Amino acid sequence: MSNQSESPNPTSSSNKITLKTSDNEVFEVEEAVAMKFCTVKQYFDDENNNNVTSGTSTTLIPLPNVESHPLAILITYCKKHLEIKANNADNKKEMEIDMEHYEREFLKNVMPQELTELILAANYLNFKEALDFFCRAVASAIQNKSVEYVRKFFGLESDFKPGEEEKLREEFAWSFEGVDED
Amino acid sequence: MGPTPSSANDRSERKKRNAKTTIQSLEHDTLCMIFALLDFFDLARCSAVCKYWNTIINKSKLLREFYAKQKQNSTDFSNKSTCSETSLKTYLEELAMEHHGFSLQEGLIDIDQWKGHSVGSWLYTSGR
Repeated sequence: MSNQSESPNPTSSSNKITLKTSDNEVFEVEEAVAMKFCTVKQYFDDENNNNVTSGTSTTLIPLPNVESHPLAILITYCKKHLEIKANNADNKKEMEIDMEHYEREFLKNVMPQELTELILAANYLNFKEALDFFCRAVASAIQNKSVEYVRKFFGLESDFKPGEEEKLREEFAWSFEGVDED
Repeated sequence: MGPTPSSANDRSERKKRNAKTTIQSLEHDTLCMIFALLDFFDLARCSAVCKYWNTIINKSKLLREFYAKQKQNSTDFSNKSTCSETSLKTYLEELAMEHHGFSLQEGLIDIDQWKGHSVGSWLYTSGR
């Protein structure tokens, strides 16, 4: 995914909002995109209320908890999300099909570690659709997988005391039947 | 926050933290959102992944919700009135057996292997 997802669109007449990440990268995004991030929207609304006389949108919104890499991906996702919604305004079913297709393709390019970063960023930005989507993606990665697979997938290590894990496995022996091959 | 002994130390520590964004960095609520999408087989296994997940799953009452929901739908288990941990675990085990049983009745799965289960019931192993 490129960092240039905020490429300027000269034909667009909408306002731009500037976001600044924790690693000091600046993203100029369309207002419609930025407003999907509820945290940004809140900040933006507050700024506007405090500063009613200013008609221009020169606001720079700092995002101290979001790094540029996940933000770029989130912006791409958000743009596509809005585009699919606009293209299928009168057909919810079609919209869902398009979205599902896009999300499937999207996940092919996302590493497990990125998924975590994306969840953290989407959570901070309060971008609900993306958060839901990434949580679903993580859940389906875990579904019907062995404990070892889940650990490996997320780079986790067991921190149980000797015997504790064995006890759990014994207690929940029924849940260890028939999991997928690692 | 006191003065840091050395800024270099501080920097390297911060770098280390940034480099290690794992699933552990996820907050309790976010993990719960994920766990809420799993079935109770997955939840039980996830509780054996690490202590943090174990605590969340045990405290989140997600397994308990399964228990409560199933108990409402089922009269077979209505005599187990207490929601103590022991009965929950026993119940989940029974639920698992029942689930396996239903799958067999539906006959939609291919059985790879039959084997005796430690608890005394017959179980199959297959890709669900």
